[in-house]
Amino acid sequence: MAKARAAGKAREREAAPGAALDERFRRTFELAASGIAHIGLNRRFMRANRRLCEILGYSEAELQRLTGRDISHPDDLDVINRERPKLYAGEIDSVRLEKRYVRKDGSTVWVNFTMTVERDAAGEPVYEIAIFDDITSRKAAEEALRESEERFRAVVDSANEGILVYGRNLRIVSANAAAARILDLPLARIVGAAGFTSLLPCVHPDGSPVEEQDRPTRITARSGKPLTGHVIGIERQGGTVTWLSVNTGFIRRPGEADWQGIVSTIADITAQRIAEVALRRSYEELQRSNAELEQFAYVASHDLQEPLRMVSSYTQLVQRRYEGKLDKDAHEFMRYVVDGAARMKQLIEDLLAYSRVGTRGAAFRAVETEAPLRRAISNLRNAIEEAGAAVTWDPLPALEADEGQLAQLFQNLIGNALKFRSASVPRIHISASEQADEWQFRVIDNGIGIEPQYFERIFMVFQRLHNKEEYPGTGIGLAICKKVVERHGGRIWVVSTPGTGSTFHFSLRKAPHGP
Amino acid sequence: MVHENRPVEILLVEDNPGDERLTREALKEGKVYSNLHWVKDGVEAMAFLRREGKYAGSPRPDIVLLDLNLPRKDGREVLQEVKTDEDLKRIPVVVLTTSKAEEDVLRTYNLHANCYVTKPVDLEKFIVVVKSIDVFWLTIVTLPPNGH
Repeated sequence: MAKARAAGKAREREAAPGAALDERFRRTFELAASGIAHIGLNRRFMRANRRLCEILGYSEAELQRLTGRDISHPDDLDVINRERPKLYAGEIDSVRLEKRYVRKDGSTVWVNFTMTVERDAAGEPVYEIAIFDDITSRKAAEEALRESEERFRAVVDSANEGILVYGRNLRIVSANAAAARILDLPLARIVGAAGFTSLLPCVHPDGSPVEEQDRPTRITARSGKPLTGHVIGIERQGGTVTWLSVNTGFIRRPGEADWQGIVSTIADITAQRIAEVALRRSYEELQRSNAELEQFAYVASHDLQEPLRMVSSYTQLVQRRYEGKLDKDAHEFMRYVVDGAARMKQLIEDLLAYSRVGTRGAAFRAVETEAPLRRAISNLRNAIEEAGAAVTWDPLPALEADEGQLAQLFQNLIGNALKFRSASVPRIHISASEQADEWQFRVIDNGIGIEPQYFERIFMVFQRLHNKEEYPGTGIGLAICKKVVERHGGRIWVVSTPGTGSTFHFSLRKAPHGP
Repeated sequence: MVHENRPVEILLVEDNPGDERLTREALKEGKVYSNLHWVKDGVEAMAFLRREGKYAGSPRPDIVLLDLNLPRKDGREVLQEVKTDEDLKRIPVVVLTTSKAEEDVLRTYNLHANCYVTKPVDLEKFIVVVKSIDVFWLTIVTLPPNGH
């Protein structure tokens, strides 16, 4: 419709006098890539070209019944009206602004609006000449960019890590609040500086000062490689150090190989570092104290043997040499001295054996656990035959362990089962079941059993539940078992019903962390 | 069997007088025909073996009983020196240890002691040990002459 009418008018003009130039202007107006309108002093559109009709979504005829204000976006109603008086007064020769219109279909269009005014011979305004360029897509892109920047800013501002952006000259362009907090400097001092290491006394983890060439950004720029987890300490007044983990990265324009800036993130790892140091210290302290204790046990038990041998040997020498010259009591008393010394020696030997679990253990190797079991049974052959015991076992796994100590473990547990047998024929069965990261072994017997209140106590050094006449021994066997199992990263425990039997359970890790 | 008529010359390297006396008594109880020479540390022991200074007139021992924990020069060093000395290395050395544990540690040094003996608490056992020295020595002397 609009086209048909426009074409009709064009034909009218062709017939008019002096039409050639006029026609060219008319064509220019009509074919221009920008929207163009003449607007009357009553604000109504007098003429609108094809492009403007496309931009606003109205036909020229429709526009001629409307003012610009009628189709302006509610937020931009008076942006032109505010400028118009200045234009009319000649204070400005044109109005240039960006505003929104509501198209006929209800959608919003952003336009770059330029307006001049045509005046008569007396200089009075006659009509306005307005040019509209559709900038909706540019505005959308700008909006998207702004949103993206907002998102980015929110991330940067809320980050717990300090973020510093450096320009090509390696000076700080911007920094977030966390950077100011971590560095304990106002943002104003940070921005513009040649890195935080230039503002504060900084040290390497070994305590040596960070020189200019050691600055993280310098290293990054020089090597062309980002840094990760680069540790730098800030020496504070009062002697404390704030430890930072610094990461760097390059800022590049899309498609460009050369970098425009460097971004550096800093995390305060002081608490973590203090905890690490404390943990390492207490671990070393524990290691040292354990080693000392084992050394002590070894030396003590070793040196205790000497005077003991003197007591025992010389008493026996007296017995031997003065046989018949001493009365019955003297011989009995000396027997107690010798017996006491012998028991003392056994205790010392056992204590020594206990301490040797930790000090003289072998490295872990792949072990078929049936091998140490067979060795234990072989060592106990006499006791097994004497008791008429039946020792059986299911297939046992292979794992990483100290084979000698496993043999000792099996020997002590089976020996225990033989020793604390009931009136019935001793039956001892060994089995293992696979768990997620360990094997659980069971040594099941049908012996006298243990009262539940002693389940923990029996694994302690020199703890005994029976008198020496009934069951001889020092009470070291299960303590050694516990130590062996724990050296292998496992646990040992017992489940028992008095009068029915006991099941000793122990776990061994499939892949221990080494002895 | 020409040696049967002379006593076994024994060098005891031991710093504890109680052990020295005990060894002497055990030899007596075990009726071992012997001369016990006693030195109290490793330096003295080497001087005795090399017949230096006041030991110039000492006999060459038929056997050395060596304690490990000694002042000045310990048993390990004495053993090392004896076993690397062309002249002395054929003298049998019995190392006396206090515990089995000590013996295990020693074996790792690979010092070539002829024998390790853990000093027993029981006197009867000690007498057996000392008697076995006699047997040991007799076995040694029936071997071909070692050039001395």
